[in-house]
Amino acid sequence: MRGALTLLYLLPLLLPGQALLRVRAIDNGGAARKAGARSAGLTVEVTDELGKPVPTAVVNVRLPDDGPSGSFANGLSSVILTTGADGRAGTTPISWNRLPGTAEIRITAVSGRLRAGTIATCRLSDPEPEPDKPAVTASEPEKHGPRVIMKPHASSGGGHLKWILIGAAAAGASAATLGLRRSGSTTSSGSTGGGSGIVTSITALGAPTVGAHP
Amino acid sequence: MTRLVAALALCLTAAFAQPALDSPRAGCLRGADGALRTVHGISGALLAGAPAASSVISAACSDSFALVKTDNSLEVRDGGLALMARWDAPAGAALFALPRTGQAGFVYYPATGKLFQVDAQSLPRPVLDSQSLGGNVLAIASPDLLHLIAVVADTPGPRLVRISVADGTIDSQTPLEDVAVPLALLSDGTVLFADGAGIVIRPPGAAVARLVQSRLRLMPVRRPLVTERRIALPAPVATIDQMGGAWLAVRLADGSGPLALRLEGGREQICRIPMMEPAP
Repeated sequence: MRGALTLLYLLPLLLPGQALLRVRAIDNGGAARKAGARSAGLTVEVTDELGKPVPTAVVNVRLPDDGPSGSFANGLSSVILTTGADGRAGTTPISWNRLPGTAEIRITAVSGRLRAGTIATCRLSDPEPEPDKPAVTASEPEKHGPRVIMKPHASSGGGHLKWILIGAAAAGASAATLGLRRSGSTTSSGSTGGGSGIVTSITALGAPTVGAHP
Repeated sequence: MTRLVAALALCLTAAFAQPALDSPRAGCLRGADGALRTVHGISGALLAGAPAASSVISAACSDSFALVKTDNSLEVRDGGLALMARWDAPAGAALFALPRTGQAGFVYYPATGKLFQVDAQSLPRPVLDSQSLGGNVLAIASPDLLHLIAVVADTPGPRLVRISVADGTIDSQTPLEDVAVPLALLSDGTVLFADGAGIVIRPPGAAVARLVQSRLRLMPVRRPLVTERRIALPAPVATIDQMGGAWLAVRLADGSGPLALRLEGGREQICRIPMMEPAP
């Protein structure tokens, strides 16, 4: 009884108080990352003044609110972690936005009544250009509302060929008519026109519109 | 046996209650050896205690907390200099501005030219940099947590700048005449600066009053103007630091013990601060 009472009173003196807390970011795969890409998460290490790992420390990792930044797997720009027995805690992978520059990651650790913090920087290089959209071929008609645009191709089927021939014939007839009219009215030019030198690129025959390059 | 246990418990309770009985605290003091000590006592009877931190480059204390700059960190400590938070910081010295009460202050790093708002809960928040101020910052002070005043030196001469902390904008600027370093700035705008073997205390408005007086000599002065005061010291001033509350710590260039300077109610008191030496 007496021993227990004495121990109870002396307990605050026997427990050594932690004097200092240090926090640092352990870089995963280099400090430089590519903007717009996804990279491995950040590992944070919390130690005391002697370099011993501090377990169960609460760590807050916060990415910038604007500019070059990113988000964790939860879709948020900050995450709260707890260090393990080795004093380390790791975030989920980071999806960086497409703004190149330096991102300042604010890291705060709390253990007991002590706090520590640091700012880790991460350099985001220029993002890779977005891949071009695949070209639309005749076999893959693109729909733009009610109107259908079909581009001719050498390997197009008979249905397409029919419309092309109709268009070409109509274009030829129109050109011939126009050439005859011009030759009749402007005889001084000496040019007879005719259908041989005229190219009609597009002929509209109502819906659908057909583009032809004979 | 029960009486013995009860007596022992009573004695232990009394023993553990002793730390609650404390002498009045005047602030903290950074010694020439880089050790930070609490200063207890009243005017004329001050005593610097045992070192609470070492390798201190710059420090400032208010009645409720302290900011301590070591080589690569900024420490936030409570009134008894117990560590609360440690933030990574650039190397070198720092300037501080602490409101008399509250748990937040400001720090300026001359090495990077950046000014931050500091507390023990979160990493320092950037307020502005010296490029926005257009010169080197010589001293800062905080009248309240929403405003900051700074002495900025640039080519035209030093000036007193009032800054809004919320957005980092400059509210006003006032030229300062004939000031020299080292200097200190108090939260009410009073400027203290070295002047040979002495220290000059210039309350806010004193410089302007002197300018008006010199230009309008023929006009009679109906009420006394605010004038600056000078305190003679045994040697030139080396540093002036905020010791806490109304106290400033003045260190002389001759290497003698630090002085405590108290400014309150338009009066000043100055006394030496003996150091508590560790037992051999």
